[in-house]
Amino acid sequence: MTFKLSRRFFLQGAGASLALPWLEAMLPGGSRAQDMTSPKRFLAFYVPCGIRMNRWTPAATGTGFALTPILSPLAARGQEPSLVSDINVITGLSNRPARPDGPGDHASGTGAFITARHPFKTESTNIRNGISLDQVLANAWRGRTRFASLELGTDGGGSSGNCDSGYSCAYARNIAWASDTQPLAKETNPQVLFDRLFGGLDPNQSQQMVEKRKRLKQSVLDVVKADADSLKPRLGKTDQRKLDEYLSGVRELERRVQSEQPAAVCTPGNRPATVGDLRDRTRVMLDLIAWSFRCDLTRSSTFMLQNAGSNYVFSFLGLSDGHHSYSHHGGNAANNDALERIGTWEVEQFAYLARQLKAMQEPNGSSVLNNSLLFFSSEIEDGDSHSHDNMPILVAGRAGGRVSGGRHLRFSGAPSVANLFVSITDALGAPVTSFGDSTGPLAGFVTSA
Amino acid sequence: MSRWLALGLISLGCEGGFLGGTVDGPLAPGGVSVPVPGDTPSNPDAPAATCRPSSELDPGRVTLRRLNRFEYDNTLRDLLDDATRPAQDFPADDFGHGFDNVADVLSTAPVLVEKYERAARVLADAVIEREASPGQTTRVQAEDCAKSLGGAAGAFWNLWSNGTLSSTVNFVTTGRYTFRVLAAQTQAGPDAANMVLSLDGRTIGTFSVTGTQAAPGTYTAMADVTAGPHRVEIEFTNDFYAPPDDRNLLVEWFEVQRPGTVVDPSVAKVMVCDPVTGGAACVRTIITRFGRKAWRRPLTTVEVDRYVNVVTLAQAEGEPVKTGLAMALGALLLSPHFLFRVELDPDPTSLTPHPLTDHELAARLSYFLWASTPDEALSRAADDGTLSQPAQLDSQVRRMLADAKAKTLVTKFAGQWLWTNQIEDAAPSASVYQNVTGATKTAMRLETEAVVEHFFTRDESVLGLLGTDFTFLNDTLADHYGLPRPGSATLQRVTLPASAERGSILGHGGLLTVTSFPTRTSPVKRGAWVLGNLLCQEPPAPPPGVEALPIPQMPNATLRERVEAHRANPTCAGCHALMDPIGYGMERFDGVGRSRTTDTGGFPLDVSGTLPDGRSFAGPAELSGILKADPRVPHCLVEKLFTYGVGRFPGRDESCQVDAITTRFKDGGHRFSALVQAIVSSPSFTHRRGETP
Repeated sequence: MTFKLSRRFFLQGAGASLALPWLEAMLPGGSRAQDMTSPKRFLAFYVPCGIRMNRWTPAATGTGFALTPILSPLAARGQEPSLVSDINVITGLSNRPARPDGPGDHASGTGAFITARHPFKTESTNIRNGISLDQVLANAWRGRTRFASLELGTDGGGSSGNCDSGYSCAYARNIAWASDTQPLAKETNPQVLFDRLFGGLDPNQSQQMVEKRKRLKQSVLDVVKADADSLKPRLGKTDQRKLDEYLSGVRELERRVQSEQPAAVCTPGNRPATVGDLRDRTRVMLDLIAWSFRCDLTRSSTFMLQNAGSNYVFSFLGLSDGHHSYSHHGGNAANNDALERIGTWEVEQFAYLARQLKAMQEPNGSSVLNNSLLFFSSEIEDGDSHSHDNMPILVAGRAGGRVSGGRHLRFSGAPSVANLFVSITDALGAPVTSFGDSTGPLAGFVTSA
Repeated sequence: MSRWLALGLISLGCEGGFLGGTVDGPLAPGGVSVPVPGDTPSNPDAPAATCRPSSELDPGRVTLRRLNRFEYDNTLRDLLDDATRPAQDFPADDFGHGFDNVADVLSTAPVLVEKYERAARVLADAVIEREASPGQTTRVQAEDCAKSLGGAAGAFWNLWSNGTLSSTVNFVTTGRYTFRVLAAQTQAGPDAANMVLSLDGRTIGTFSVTGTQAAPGTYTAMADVTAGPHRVEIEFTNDFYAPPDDRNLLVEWFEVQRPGTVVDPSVAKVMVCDPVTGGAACVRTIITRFGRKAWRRPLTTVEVDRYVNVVTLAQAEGEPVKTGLAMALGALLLSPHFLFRVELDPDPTSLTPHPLTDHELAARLSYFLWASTPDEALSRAADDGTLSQPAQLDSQVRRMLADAKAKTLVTKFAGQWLWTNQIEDAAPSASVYQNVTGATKTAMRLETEAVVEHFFTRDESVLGLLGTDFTFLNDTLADHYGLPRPGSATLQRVTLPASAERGSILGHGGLLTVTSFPTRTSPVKRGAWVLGNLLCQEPPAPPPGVEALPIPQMPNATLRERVEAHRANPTCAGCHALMDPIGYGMERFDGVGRSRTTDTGGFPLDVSGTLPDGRSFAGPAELSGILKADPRVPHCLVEKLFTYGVGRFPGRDESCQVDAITTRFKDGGHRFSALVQAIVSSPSFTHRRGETP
């Protein structure tokens, strides 16, 4: 079979490897080929400025609900299969820790997006949040793939001004947090990402050459580690924390050096060409996410379709004002119409990725999507109210069958989104008993043991 | 003092009671501040009497400061003549307090370390010439390239719009190749044609092409290439077409030269001896000298040994000495001593202040004034131990401010302070504002930069930013403003009539554009900008549920009347009483900075305003005049430049230091150099202390 991929990958010709059938030999390292249990994967997909909820929320609950306008991209369309049986729409969950101290819902909601912890309000000193869901999973799976996690997005972010009402940009631009104090910056350039994922390895190198290369690279890492080790005791505690961030990066690099193998043949083909507007950048990034899962380069990933409170002008949707401006709709029909168009486009991007993964087959015959959980949400519920209750949540994938699809789950009593996160870790086989402000698993989300 | 006031605004939500109880109000001419319980009130015009002598003041401490992307690239430019700017591929740096060089906010994600490793390896490999055979040159005519557009023009290929020329070249050996492009441009608009040279899609050189068809220029780049076929691409990226002006890029050929005996200057700079003939002693010399530059201080013997050992290990693996050396140099660029600006305390847990070492001070100076590493002269002063002497420090600052590298204070400091660096990202609606092109936005940015540069480099008060009799325009921007054309595609200094609205940064199109919505102006945003960026009194964001309330539909009312109706709500009125009058004064200009006399709805404009203290003004020039005389403006500039220069926001207990700097700034006639001198000689800059464990 062949795989759908942005035609941009083909602009430079070639792409011959795409025509190859899906062979077990293409699996990196070969070790997973014998293991017929397919890997589980997680992705958090972030969109800014909330969602127009009355065009998002299905009227009926349970199975067989009718898709709403914003969720309509999940329906079958032409050649594209329906995703309804692969998804769960979840309403009624809240992210209480995301409530800011005073104003700052966008930054605070983004910081807490998948940490369900309360970001400490600061422009600079004492940045503090909590570990994010993708990192909990990355830690559980560390060592199994070349990249423990990938942090991706479309926008680096502006370059001056106040990020959001006294909250540092660290909260507004990052959803992945390695620890309470360390946000994980994201990659926004598809070409650079392509190089990271698929570049570097010379398939003609002998094992001996590979081993020698490892030793030489390791000697460089050893010397900078020695520098850091002798420096650390001479620093104050804040500086030590900064140095620890560096050191954990060096250790991550060490693991990668040690696991380097020649002959990585799982590749989507040519490097993507320079890409233009948000549509192109988004699609190419999503293609690369799909390939990073398919080639088992990572199993935990985050994707930010723009940053907190983005005021991007969706001119390609026929809109002339910024997203954030529209999101303070004030009940105005034209604003709400704009928000519906933006929300629908965002779900369309999510559906595009889900369909890519649905078309990719694992060695045991199931689809990559079937073995994954993809979490879609925003930093707030509605742009006008800035509420952190009743968050718009869509989960695609079935965690290898542990989660039933095709449902609209509505919860009363505003349980925490962290309960869903606890259930996600369980469904993906890396269970934690508590997370953020969780009170337990989310009743009914996981459907089989 | 503004900081306390800002805190007060936040804690009190700038509601009616707060302002009502303050006769002088936040815009008082004498700068009388509002006492906030628990804080010592302070006056920006006169240091509080309670301040101790500067030698006894707490200098604070800066967190271990990572080089940001801009500093990383500049540093490698200065160390290795690198022009590839590898940090353009790094993730964006986060920022705090409006600046992207604030130490606490600069974190180091694993992906960044991965990129540091790659960049260091590529850069170090590039320094080591590994081929001894004479370089052989392959030339490819533009005509023979794959062309995305354009047409033949004599011997040249004319890229008449943004497009590419590309060709796949077979590189016979692995090594460092020299690339040359013979190119010319037709000049139009403010900028020269921009040409990007890339190899397999990776930029290896970016050039401002100034050659002409009669006298084309040769543009050179170097890059490491592995043997095999690779795609060389030449791209024209800044097409400009406003008939009759038409900027094009013309290319005759490019050539690729194999590594050979040609030694590029960056190699000679580092390879001060020949390691093949010079043996271990030469290896040691190279590491010692390069390490001194890269780490901004001499290495200890233990450190030198550690890096020499990398070479020894590589040689033991059968690698040539130069390969080992490349690894060691790359490792020096991956070390925390390079990536971070390390400053040590004798006791990291003691709060007793101590002076920085001269090497630490040199690095603070150079990253403040140049956003880059110290040069030879500064390093020598640090090595001699004379830098911390006031006279030496003074003369170094003067020397450094006169250097072209100090332009970063305009592009990076003022770019972030005045939001100049957002102008080209602004997206005014094309249906509402016709004819606002990329060239217009570029000219807007260049206008503000030119005016700022004028006041930063001349011996006159920097407060002239808020009222002077000139600006810089090219024909594009003059047309946009409706002013007479200077007859030039590049910006020219233009004298304005007395008290002209354009003679203040508040009348600059760029600022007016970035403080507007895509389809309309925002008096509130503009007012908030002035409060936050000129007065350091950023109003808090509105409480949830009221932010950017829809402007009431009132068909027969002006925008101003509608906005005023919107803030009739008492919980909103407090802050809006501060922001809106300022914003109304700037309503003279539309959402892209053009002069106008009617608002969007066609109603006559009312650009008069009354500040909370009762002072009235009519229009932006009078508003600028009031601000120019407000002592909180220089005080705020001190706060901004302190944050940028020291890499942290001044602490709560540093008001005495900030006040003292403000006084010296004032005594120095508000000259920019006096401000820099005052910051650089303050204990917060020259001293530090440890941290409670």
